[in-house]
Amino acid sequence: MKVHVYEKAFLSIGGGMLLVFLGALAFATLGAGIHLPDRAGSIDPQAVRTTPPFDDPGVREIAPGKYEVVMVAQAWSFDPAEVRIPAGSEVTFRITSPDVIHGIHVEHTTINVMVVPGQISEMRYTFREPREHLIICHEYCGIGHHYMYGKVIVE
Amino acid sequence: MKRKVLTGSLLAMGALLVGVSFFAIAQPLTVLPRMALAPGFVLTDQHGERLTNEDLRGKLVVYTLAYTGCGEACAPINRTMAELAARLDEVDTGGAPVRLVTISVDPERDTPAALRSAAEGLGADGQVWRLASGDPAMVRQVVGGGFEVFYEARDDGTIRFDPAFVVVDGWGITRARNRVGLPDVELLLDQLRLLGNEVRASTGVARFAYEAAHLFSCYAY
Amino acid sequence: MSTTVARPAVDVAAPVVQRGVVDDPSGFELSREQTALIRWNIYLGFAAVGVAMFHGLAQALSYAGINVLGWFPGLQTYYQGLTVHGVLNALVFTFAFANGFLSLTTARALSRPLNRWLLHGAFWSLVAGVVLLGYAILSNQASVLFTFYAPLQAHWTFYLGAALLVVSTWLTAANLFLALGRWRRDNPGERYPLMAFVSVATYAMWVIASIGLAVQVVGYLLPWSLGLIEGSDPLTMRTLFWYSGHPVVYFWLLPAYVSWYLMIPRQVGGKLLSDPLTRMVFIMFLLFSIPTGFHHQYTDPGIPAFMKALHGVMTFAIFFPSLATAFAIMASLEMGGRARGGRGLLGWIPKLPWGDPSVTAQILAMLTFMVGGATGLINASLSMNRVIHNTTWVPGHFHTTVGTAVALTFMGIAYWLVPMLTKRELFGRRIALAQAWIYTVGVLIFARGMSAAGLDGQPRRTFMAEAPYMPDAWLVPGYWTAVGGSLMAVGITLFFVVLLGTIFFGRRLEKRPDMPIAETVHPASRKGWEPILDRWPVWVAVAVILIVIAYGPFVISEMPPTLNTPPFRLF
Repeated sequence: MKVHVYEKAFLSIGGGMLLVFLGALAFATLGAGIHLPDRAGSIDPQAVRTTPPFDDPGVREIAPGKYEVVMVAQAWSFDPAEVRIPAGSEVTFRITSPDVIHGIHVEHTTINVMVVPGQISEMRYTFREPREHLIICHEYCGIGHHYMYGKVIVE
Repeated sequence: MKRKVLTGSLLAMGALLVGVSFFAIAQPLTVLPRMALAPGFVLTDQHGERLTNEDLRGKLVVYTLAYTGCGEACAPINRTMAELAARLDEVDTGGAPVRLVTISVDPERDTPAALRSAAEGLGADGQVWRLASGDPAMVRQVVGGGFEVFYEARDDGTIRFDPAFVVVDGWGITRARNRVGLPDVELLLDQLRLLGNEVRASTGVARFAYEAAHLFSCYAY
Repeated sequence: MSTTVARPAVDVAAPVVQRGVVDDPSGFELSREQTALIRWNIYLGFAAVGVAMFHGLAQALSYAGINVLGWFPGLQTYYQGLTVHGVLNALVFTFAFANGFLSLTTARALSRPLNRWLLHGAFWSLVAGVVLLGYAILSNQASVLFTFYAPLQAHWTFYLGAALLVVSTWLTAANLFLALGRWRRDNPGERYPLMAFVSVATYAMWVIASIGLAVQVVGYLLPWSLGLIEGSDPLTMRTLFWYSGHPVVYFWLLPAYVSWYLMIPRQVGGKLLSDPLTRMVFIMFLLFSIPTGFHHQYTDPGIPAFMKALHGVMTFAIFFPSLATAFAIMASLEMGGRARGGRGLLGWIPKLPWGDPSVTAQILAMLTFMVGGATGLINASLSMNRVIHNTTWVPGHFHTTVGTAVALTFMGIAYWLVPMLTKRELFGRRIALAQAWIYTVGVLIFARGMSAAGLDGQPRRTFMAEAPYMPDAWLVPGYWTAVGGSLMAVGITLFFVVLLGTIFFGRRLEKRPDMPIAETVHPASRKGWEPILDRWPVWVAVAVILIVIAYGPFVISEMPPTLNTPPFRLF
């Protein structure tokens, strides 16, 4: 098979570029610690409201400077809809859904995760600066989808 | 020559592919994921003896939370622990000892003396099953910061917390967090059995098979 | 239209060494019945776009805070319209066009008619599917969007309709495989004609890829919607959907690649560079298209991060054949431009036949696809995906890929295909040219707005005109989106002027024009290693092994599925 010298060069540069990108991703994952959501447990979606910790959703300080947000994403609200934490807190979100698939994106953070009934989504983020972030449901969940939002207030 | 190298490397790649796909399809063994390093701590047990995470190295440990003044609210947790303690000999852990540790979430009131009387009531021998408490700030770091379980005192003096059973392996790595509702004793025994399989295979060629199981996420649950 | 319909004079004296599609089948013509069926497939596909575009406009305006839904009679909610837009554009349009177009290319390449029953079966199951989907969606019993994630439950006719769409592609696949098999029987030892090879490769990939969708819809969702199964397992359903849901984008794209590789060179007066490289590109799509689905589920709970990373690497691998395509097509264009008198480094570009709307539309589609390819790599990046997942960035991306690279190419193809199928001259060449430019400018503005708002966190699939939250950062991009979307709607409207004008008012032609088919600089060889490219069992086996590695561990850990989520109808 004849491959033109320009084509060889083009494909080598292109393939090399892809490898560099993959290297950058490996660095982001292993070096910079940007992780994807992993398995964080399952739950009976029909018993969310009676299964700890989701029987009592809310914001808790689990250790000095460390917070846990236990959240239920349901049609069409987040419970709790308002999360207040001091700047510099490391926050772990634990979220599940008792009805359909939802999504949660905390604006201008890397908290961006699907909320699937039967599964628990876990995400960690450190809020450094005082400001307000929108919490948006970003997966279609029915006719009231666009009314489903909340706020993270970093004080 | 060149042809031989090519054929050889193609064959090797083919063998690798077949091997990998066999592993992916058949899943000859399953493991518990290596989730994170378990927290370090220095606590005191019911005999007033020091208990640290380092003492538990090389042992499979099931941690749970409770407190002595809890009464009926903690009874299901304690019953689970007691049943687990009684049935430990059902599991072959490959010679690795199993330890059960109940950490108090009421460290202010749970002195070694309080723990001792509670332990007698529960049948915790202080050898396999130990009750531990310590400096409140330390307990907060271990339970809240390490095991990520929230607890707080209610106005009536009881403590609010969610049940959690955390399984840690001999290297001090968290392998299972059972924290949604109360786990079945069978489930905990099964988790210990899976860790035991790995302990037994920790020498020799089988080790690589288990490493492969981790690499391909052949997780039991 | 002389440039697109020109055929080489048949050299009677030349011996037919290989049954090349270019010089041969002199006078080969499909029967009236088969031509008509193919024509109606194409019409059905474009009719779907004609309906879907209305809500597309409404969506674009919604991002600028303008609610025009009151003007849509019969539409009850935004999400009902969004379902129409997705189902018709992404499933009906693309499936119908591929079924028609690739049936034609295969028949033409092999110089043999297709099986008429399979051709009928494919068309009528598509029609039946559209009718059922239309009933379910228009009666507002299926506002579940085209991804229909359980436990949102649609009426059973929705799932049956979706299943029939897939059945129509399977019947077409059976037809193409049958034709290829018959050809092989008559031509043992020959290399498959390239155009038949790439057409069949596209369907081979899709048949393997669509199994997930079939299992999901027929195995779970259909009985579930009929009440035979009580609960569903949303994560397993999502995984089955995306098993098919990523490769389906290549099923959309590959018919466009068939045109770019095999027709565009001829249309611009160049040649296709290499036969074996073209086959390798399509084989790579067969191998790597499918084990990539988890990159749509990077942010899903319950899937091990390692498996997601593995699919991420595969996604980067699937970018490679598109890079090779970029080179091959640019080379063909340059050859064409130089043959037409272009000089210097870039002088060949203005010499390309920019007056031919079929060429212009497809070159603009290619250029827009470069944007889409780059944004696609960002989507596939594990870390950056966390910023853009489910934001308007994603529709910003796929309107430059399927929305332009595919859709505008299909329109470009229609500019020679419809004259060929109707024996009528193209109506309104200048309108067609304007259409291509307006649509491209529109989509670039649209994508600029959607991408920018997406980076600022604006959610996709959300009725922004009514949302109680709307940060200022989304306002200006929203205007871009609305302006771009409106231009796209104008572009599509102009396309329908040309299409309907050709069908009803185009000047009748004496002779049916042939399709433009490119000659190859480096043709297929019967010697050496190249014939292995034609060995389907080898490539299908490798594809299956890759799929098993990518999905095996997860599927086994999920089996049997926990069917404990009850259905919901929240629309």
